[in-house]
Amino acid sequence: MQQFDAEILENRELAEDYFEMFLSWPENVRVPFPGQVVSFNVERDITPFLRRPFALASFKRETRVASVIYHVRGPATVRMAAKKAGEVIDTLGPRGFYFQLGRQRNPVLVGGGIGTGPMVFAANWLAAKGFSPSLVLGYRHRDLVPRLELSPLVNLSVCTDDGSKGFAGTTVQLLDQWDPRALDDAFVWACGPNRMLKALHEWAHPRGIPCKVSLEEVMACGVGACMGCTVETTDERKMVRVCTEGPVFASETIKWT
Amino acid sequence: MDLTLTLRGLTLSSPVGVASGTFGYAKEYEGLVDYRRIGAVYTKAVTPEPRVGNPAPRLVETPAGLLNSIGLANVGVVEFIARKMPFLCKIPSAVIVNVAGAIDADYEHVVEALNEVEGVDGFEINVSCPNVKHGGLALGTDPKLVAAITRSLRARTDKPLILKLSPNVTDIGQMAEAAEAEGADAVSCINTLVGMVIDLKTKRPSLPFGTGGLSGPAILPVAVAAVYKASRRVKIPVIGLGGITKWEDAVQHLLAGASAIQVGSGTFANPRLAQEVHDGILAWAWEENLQTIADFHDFT
Repeated sequence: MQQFDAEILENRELAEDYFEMFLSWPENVRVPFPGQVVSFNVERDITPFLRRPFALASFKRETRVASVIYHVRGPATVRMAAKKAGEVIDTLGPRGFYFQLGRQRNPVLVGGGIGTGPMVFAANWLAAKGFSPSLVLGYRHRDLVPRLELSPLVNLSVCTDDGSKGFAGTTVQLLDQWDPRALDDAFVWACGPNRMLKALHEWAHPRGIPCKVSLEEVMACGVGACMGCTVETTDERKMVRVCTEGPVFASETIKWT
Repeated sequence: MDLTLTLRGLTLSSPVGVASGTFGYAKEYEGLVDYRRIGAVYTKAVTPEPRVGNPAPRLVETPAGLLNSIGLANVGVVEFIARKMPFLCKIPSAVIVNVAGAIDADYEHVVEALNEVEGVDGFEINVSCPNVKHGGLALGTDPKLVAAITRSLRARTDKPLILKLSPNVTDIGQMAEAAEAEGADAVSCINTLVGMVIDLKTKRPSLPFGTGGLSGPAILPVAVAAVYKASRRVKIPVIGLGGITKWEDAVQHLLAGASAIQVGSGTFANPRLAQEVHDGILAWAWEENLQTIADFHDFT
């Protein structure tokens, strides 16, 4: 992990209030993997005071360009959206444990809202490795569905809560309707709101489908020092830091509330 | 120019330290900072037993600040010695162990356990945590309790002993006097302020136990005033902390009467803050022809 000034190459709107920011990734900074995060000190200002963590949405080795997809919803992301190509942003990363393959060979990737970025990264990364991943993305409404750059090997399904685009319902409701044969040898990787991750865990666990989730928490330091971003685990004696032991966890280790 | 501070034979090579709770056990920032420009690392608070800490959420961002309720989550003194000291021994910064507890015996236990440990250069005593023997009252809110804990720990160590004072009192100078009278080598001003954020959606406090500790640039003027008041009441050095996010803030602390400073939650936004503040203080002192830290105290 390093702290560096990344040059912004492009900052484009993908859907209503969803943006993707492309950054140059210096040669001396380690290659990032799906699930890993960077944090930005968006402005050298006293407010917003803290850095903001984002999971990476892409990384291209040939050009050393990385990106994050973000939702404009507070003072830091409003400032991010106003940034132009050529400006630099104080970046710390790459950080955290990434999604790692197990024995299973049938990837089912699930993203909800702000969890879109890392699942797009994971889908394209798996496709480049010869997998044919299913990518299931859920949003509230069709205006929030982003235009994404996906490998032709990725099978995308979109869900909207109000049925304005794709499947009418949640990502887990869609998975529930799948032919069980489509889930042979499956594994699930997911990122999104906690209630979606909890529902996904409760769906995958009884079916014996390994499920890894990437969690989001408010972070102060983002390097494991402040103990602020902890979550409870099924082991009562133990709390884990999202920034250090995560952000990717096996879903059965998390105490879902 | 010599901006060092010597406490009971321990010389801090830079006036800038990193505050307890914001820098972990120093290894977390390996590769991101230059330890040579950090005079002292004040460790995460150490208690006799490991502590899991408080339930989530533990953090809320506030206007120009941060409210936290971590609950002194730490590995406990045994693990601290076995797993954290080896790295702390390797860095050039002085290692001041921050000590916390729920009863007086906790502090005594930690200081005794660490007093002879190689690499431990001194102790900073957190008297802001609730003390169960005194009805949950923090020791730092009563000068008699500050005096008693200082006396007890002074008898147990010849290493530098620093009392970290709470700002949640009427007269911080009185607490500083109590610490000085019982042999403390310095006081740190200030710990976090008590604060609360209420979430309009739930109509309840955002943090599980209601209140938390406020830090960040919002508290800078409170901290500078506390340093100013305390430093006029005691002869021992005052170490200033609270609200520092740039070197100019640190210079305010020094001009107010501090003999060294700590950067705290500002490190969260900028990991290189301590070294940037170090460089800034030195450059400003050079420009203003200030030769020692005492020269900063001639103006206010």
